[in-house]
Parts: sequence; C-alpha cells; structure tokens
Amino acid sequence: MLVLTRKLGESIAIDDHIKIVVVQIKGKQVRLGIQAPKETKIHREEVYSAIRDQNQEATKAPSELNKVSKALKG
Amino acid sequence: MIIKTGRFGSLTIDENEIIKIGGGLLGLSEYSQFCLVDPGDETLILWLQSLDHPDLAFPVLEPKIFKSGYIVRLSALELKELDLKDITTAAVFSILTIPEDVTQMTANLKAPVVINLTNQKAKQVVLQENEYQIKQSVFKELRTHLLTIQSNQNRLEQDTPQRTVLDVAKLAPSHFIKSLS
Repeated sequence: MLVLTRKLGESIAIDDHIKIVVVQIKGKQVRLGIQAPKETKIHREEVYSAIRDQNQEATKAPSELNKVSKALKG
Repeated sequence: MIIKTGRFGSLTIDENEIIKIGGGLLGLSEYSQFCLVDPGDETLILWLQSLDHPDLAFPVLEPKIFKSGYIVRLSALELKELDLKDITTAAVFSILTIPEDVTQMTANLKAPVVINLTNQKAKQVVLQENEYQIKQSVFKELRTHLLTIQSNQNRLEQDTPQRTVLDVAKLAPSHFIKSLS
C-alpha cells in the first residue's frame, strides 16, 4: 500500500479527476473531502463489510420452502 | 448439464440458463455460476442457485414488488463489466435474508444483483444512495402484494408446485436502471 503524509488542507490526486483533501483533523478523526466525477462510486468500507455479512446471512434461508410460502400466503 | 441442489433436487441446466457472476457476490468470490429457479410456490420469490455448491442458494425478489420509485444507477465501469450496451435489457433482483421467523425477512436494496439478459452476465452492484437499506423489511409488503394478486385472479391451486429453471433471455427487463455517466 502506498502511504503518504498530508497536512490539513493538503490533498492527493488520483488519476486526473479524483482529488482527496484533508478538511479537518480532530483528535482521532479525520474529515476528508472527495472530488470525483459523478460516475465514481464512493463508499465507507463498512458498507462493503455489511453487504458481505448480509450475503452470508442470506445463504441461511430455511431449507423447507413451504415454510416460507405458508407464512406469506396463510 | 445436470446439477444436484439441496432445495430443488436434480436440475437440468441449459447453457442459456447459466448466470455468470464474475468475481461472485460480495464476500463469496468462489461461486460464480448460478441459475434462477422458480420453485413454483407462487410467492414471487425466486432462488439464485449456485451451480458450484448444491446447498448455496439465495432467495431473490424483484424490487418493484415492494419498493416504488427504486432506481439502480450504474457506473460506466459497471456497465462495462456487465457488457451492458442497452440498459433496457437487464433485470434487477434484491437478495432476501429469510430467518427462521419468516415474518422478519429483509431485502438488500443497497446492493442488488443486475443481470444482463442478452449475455447472462450478472453483478452485485453497490448503490450510492444512502436511503437504500441493506436490511429493508419486506414481509408485509410482499404478503399484501400476494393477497392482491390472489383476489384479482381466481387461479387453480396447484397440487404439486412445478419448479422451473428460468431462461435468462426470457426474464422481464427492469425498467428502472439508469446510467451514472
């Protein structure tokens, strides 16, 4: 992993179109500003881990299908 | 090809029924080949059945059934990965989580599965909209929808549900896909 040191107000550029600025540093929190083309998807990493966990949960559906249909149609 | 499954017994799969999720679903990268099974139980819930693992199957539901105004915006990269040239030739499904207490079932609106109906390529995309929940409760909405269908049509009850593997090209396209660029 590339590691860069930046001060408040400084930024890094990714490719030609993405800019990440250190907006605020407060204790253990860093606020980042991100400028990117609108088609760029930006997520907190937690979103991905929550989706991975949810996919795992989804694999545990009841094996008896009529249990599901009875609940829905009964 | 004949595959064995945990829920549906042996299934005969044709080439046009294989759904290819390059890189798999998030967190499940080792499984990339699926088919879509309609168990014939008239719940509108279909099953994304793995061809690689008999017991791996995800219940899925078309989001239009329970979420009005839902929009799936795809980035240029996602369109490219799906090789999707025409956004009107793709279908969208939400993955359901069905716990032991079926009434607590939820749908993942944040990360739907998009299937290109022309080449059977599919991908789980993560949407930018913060209002789309990973765990959207859905039981009440689906039940109400099913009751409406039932009262509109006096259908004959099937004695034994007929399970079918769906031909991808014949799936109804979802008309709420948009391009981000």
